Amino acid sequence: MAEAEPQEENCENSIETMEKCNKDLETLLEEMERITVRAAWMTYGIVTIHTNPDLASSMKHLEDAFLRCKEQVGRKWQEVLKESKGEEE
Amino acid sequence: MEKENPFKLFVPPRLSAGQPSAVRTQGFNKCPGDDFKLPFRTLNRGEVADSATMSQQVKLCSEVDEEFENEKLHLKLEDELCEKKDLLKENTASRHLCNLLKETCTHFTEKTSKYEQEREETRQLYEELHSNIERMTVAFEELRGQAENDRLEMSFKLKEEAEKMEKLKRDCKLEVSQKEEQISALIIQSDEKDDVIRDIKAQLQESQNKIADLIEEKREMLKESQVNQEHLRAELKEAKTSLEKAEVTQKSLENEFQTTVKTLIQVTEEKEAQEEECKKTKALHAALTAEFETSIANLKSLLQKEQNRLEKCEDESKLLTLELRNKSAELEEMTKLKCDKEMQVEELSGTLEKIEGLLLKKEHLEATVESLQEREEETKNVLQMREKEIHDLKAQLTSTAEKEQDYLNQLLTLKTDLEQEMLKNEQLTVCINKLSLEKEQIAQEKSDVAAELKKLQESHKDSKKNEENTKQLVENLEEANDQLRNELESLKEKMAKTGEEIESKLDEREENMNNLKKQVENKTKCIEELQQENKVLKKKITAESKKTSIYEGKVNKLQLELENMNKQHKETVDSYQKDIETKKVNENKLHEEVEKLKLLYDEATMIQRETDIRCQHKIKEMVALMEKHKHEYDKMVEEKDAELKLYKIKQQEQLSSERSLESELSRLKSELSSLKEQLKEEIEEKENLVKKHSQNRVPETEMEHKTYVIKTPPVHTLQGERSTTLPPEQSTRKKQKVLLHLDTHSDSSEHSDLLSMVSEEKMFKKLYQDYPQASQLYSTAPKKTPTLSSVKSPGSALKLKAMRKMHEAGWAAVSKVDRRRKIKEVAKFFA
Repeated sequence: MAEAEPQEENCENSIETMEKCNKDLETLLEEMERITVRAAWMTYGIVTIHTNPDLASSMKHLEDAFLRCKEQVGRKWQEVLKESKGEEE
Repeated sequence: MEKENPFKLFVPPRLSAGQPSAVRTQGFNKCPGDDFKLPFRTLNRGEVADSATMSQQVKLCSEVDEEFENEKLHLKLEDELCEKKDLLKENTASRHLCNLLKETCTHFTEKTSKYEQEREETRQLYEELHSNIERMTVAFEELRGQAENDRLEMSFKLKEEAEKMEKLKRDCKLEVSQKEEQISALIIQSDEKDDVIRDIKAQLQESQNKIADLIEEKREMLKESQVNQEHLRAELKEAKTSLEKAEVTQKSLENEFQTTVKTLIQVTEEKEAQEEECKKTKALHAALTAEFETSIANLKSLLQKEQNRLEKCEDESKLLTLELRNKSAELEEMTKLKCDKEMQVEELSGTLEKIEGLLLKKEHLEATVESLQEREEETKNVLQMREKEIHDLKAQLTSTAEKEQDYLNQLLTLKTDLEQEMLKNEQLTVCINKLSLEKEQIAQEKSDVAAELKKLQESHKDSKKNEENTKQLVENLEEANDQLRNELESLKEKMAKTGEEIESKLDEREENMNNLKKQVENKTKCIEELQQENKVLKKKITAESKKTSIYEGKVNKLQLELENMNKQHKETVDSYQKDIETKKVNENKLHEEVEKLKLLYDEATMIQRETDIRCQHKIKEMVALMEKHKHEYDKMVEEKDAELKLYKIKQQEQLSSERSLESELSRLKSELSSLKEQLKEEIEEKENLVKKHSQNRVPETEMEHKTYVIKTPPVHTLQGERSTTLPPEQSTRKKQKVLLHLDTHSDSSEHSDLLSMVSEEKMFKKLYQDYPQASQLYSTAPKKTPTLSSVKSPGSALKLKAMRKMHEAGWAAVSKVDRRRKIKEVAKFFA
């Protein structure tokens, strides 16, 4: 009998602990949900950031401009030289 | 222990995703433990026996069942305990897991926060990168643009410099080419100058010839102009003579006009005197007419009174006749007397009808007078038209006179112009003389220059000849040199050839050589001398070339001077030609004007002649018209005199008729008185006849027949007397005093004259309607009625005489008036 009482008390404690566990589990679930949402948002943000074409396009523009400048600068002097040579001739 | 073996705890891994479903698998492992217990307990049941055994068995069975149930319950409880333990373990595990999850969550949140920070940082970095990249692109583009601009500028500069270089090259080339061209041009110019010198020389000769020709032409032109001037002068003289002639004719015409005007004035004066005389006669006639009018008025009053009396008597007679007619049943004799009276009345009506016929005749005559008056009006209109024509002709004459004056003025202006042109011609001749002198001087200078040129040419030619001679000498000398050289060479060869062959002849040949050398020296000397001569000649040639250049300079100067002179000559020639042309034009204009003036003069003369002719014709026509009118007027006057005669006759007849009527009136009155007495007697007799009808009728008829015995004097005698009186008096028209000798003693009645008198009156009225002057003379008295009052016979005769005088004076006045009017019209025409 004495075993029954603590058992009953254990049962009650277990129930309580079970209820506590349920509640904790629920809270945890909610947190997990939040975390998953955040993770989804993070992934979305990362994707958007990583897949942003502006950078690439701007980089391409930069490259194009750089190349044009290079060409121009190179051409300028080449043409000047050619013209000078042509004039001299 | 074996019981514990099947109990396996399924512990899931910590980090992996927990699977709560794994906890449930523990229940299955517990089942085989139950199977071991059951078969053990089942074996124990078989050993017990049946009866006691049965009760025992039942008891045992119930005990077993209870034990079984207890065991089951134990097992269940153990199971549940195990389950609880498991559950607790699971809980603890789940708690551990939960704690782990929390930790993980916290870690995750931290990481998310870090991530967000890093994301923001990355965004900022990206933005910075973007901005940097944009700046870089912009900078690169600016650099590119700057590079392009620099390149373009450089290229432009290079191009410009290249273009400048090219321009400079072109300019240099152009300058080079220009200089080359200039050089060539100078060479060509030098050649051309030589040619120009030759051309100028030829032109000099040509210009000299042209100048000579122009001088000759100018002389000829001067001669022609002088001839034209002389012709123009002659034409002017002719025009002057014609003008003088025209003036003379004008003067003659004017004199004629003046004479005609004077004659017309005289005629007008005469006619005015006649008019005055007529006016006097008119005044007299007016007075007479006034007297006659008063007499006529008196007679009219008397006639009216007598008419009234007659009317009254008629009324009374009518009453009496009515009374008689009322009583006529028994007075057949009275009716017969009434018939006789009616017959007489009818006769009187016949006379009235005759009078009416005469009146109609008067009306016809008046109509004819009106027609004549209309003719006169027409003739007046014709005269007015002719007067207008005369006015027009006068106006034309005035216009022609004005035109002639204008032509005179134009001639004067033309004279002045001609004088001016003469002066200009004289001035031009002076200038031409001067220019001719200058031309002669220039010709002399030209001749001198030509002589100099010729001298220069000759000298040039001589120099050229000398040059040529020197050239020929040089050439000859050169040829001689060449020949000598050739000879030298031949000689040398000969010497070389013969040197070996002939040594003995060396001396001779040496001598010959010496001689030849001497000759060669001499020739060289000569050559030198010739060369010196050539040099001298060349110097001379250079000097002469200089001289020629100087001469050429002089020639150029002279050419320039010649050109200037030629230009001046041309200018002067042109000016002279222009002057000549202007003069020609002026001369042509003057010729044309002269011709125009001639034509105008001819036209004016023609017009004058025509006007003269017209004037003469019109004068003739007017004269003819005047004569015609005179004739017509004479005819008219004659006709009217005849008519007057007729009217006079008719008037006389009417007067006679008047008298007769008056006598008849008196007779009628007497008869009426007698009738009244008779009526009274008859009334008395009627009273008696009422008693005795048939006895009184016969004597009354006899009485009545007796009373109405009419005694008529012979009409022929009167007419003859009238006719005798009138013809000798017709010869004098003006102021005729017709004395009509009539038998005033003839108191007898006259039948047929009443109506004629009446008709004469009407005709007289018609004739004198248009002549108010004569209307005064017109006698209104002879408005005759069948019933006339008693006329005083002597006074009536005098009055008749005056009447006839007035009639004829009126006709004369009418004729005078007509003549005066026509003469006035003619005077206006001629004035």
